[in-house]
Amino acid sequence: MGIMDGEGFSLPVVASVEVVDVVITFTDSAKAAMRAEFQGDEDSRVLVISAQSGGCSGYLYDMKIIEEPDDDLFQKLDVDGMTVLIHNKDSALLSGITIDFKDSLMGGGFQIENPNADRACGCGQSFG
Amino acid sequence: MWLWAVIRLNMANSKHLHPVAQVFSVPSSVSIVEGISTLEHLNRVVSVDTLEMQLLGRKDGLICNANGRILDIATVCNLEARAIILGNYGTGDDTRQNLASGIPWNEDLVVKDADGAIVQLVLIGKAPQRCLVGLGIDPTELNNEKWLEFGNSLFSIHWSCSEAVQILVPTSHRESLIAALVENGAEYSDSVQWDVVRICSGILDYHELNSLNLPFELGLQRLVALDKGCYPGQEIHARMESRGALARCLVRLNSSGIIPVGKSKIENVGSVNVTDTYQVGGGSSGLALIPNAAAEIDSLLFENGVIAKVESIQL
Repeated sequence: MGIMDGEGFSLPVVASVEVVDVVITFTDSAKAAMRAEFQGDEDSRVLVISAQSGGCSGYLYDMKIIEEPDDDLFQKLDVDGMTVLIHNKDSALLSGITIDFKDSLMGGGFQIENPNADRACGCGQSFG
Repeated sequence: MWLWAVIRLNMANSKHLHPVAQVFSVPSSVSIVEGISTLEHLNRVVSVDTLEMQLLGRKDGLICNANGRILDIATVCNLEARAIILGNYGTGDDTRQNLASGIPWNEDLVVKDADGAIVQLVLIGKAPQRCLVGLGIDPTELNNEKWLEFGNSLFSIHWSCSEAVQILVPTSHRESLIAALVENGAEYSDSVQWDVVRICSGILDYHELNSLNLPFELGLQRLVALDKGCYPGQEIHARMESRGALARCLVRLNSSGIIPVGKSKIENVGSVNVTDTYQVGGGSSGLALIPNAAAEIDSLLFENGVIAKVESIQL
């Protein structure tokens, strides 16, 4: 593409990242729900909790159970034998959160209370 | 060609435009996002849906904060696994930090500063198509939903002014493209003239598209897609749209005196914020946000005694 063939482009912009030691509190109901989601794969899979752009308030929570990524920038937490990973770049946003699970047809699922958030959107999936 | 004729007739302020065209170098910020999930990432941040963009597709949206206020405009050009984001002058660093800080850990995306690499030209007038034909471009192929690649430059129609052609050109080719446009009938004009043209044509820039303002107050509903899912500010925008109660609206002011820029208290009207003006002869024109309740008013009397006629703007 000709427009991109010229000079003057910068190196990749590096976002300023504060790295902190992550502490996360899981309620008993959250641990039980996580255990059910792991389906007995606690030894081979991990839960990654992350934050990304988006949502009404600026950042969006994401939780995925996956095979352990080959990335040494994760902090590892052991939660009753289940491994939880938080990427260093998300550590300042997510340290101190409390994860709960509500078993409800309306608005149920994992609920995150985040002391780092100035605001959260109505559905609870976004913070800023 | 008939389309251009219709557009010309519809231009409310075309009497202010050059009989052929003027070409301006318009200060802007230019950012690049590179990576396979570029459009997904932009879709999480920008107020319009970027997921289904074609190669060389164009989308005009806003980047807002959680309070729904405008941080930047984002005119996106999709280049397949990378995109150019054209924003306001002076906001590039913040926009790039915003884009870079929210990249998910598992997405291989890179944000670059292209302020020094790509510049924006605007070709505007009563017959800009004449200059384009001279270059070898078929103006009927231009619209505001895609970019047309010509040489190493990209051409498209401005989202708010159908007689303005936006051009993205590598900085190193800026002078030669301007020279070619001038050779084909355009007049190269300076930033003072740009203020005149942009205010007359209702082209908004950082004077209006900033964190003091909400999209709906500026009449920018078309830059907001409330059916695309969440983006920063969406909750506020949805509430404003459903309630339909706007505090302010954007108008053009025309006066035989000098309209004061900035906030003014006006008796029986309330607070008026004049964002930018230009002066011609002893008079002036400008863009202003006035209380919505006063939208039908004919004129405003400023504290300095200047009377300005109020003209509504449809973007």
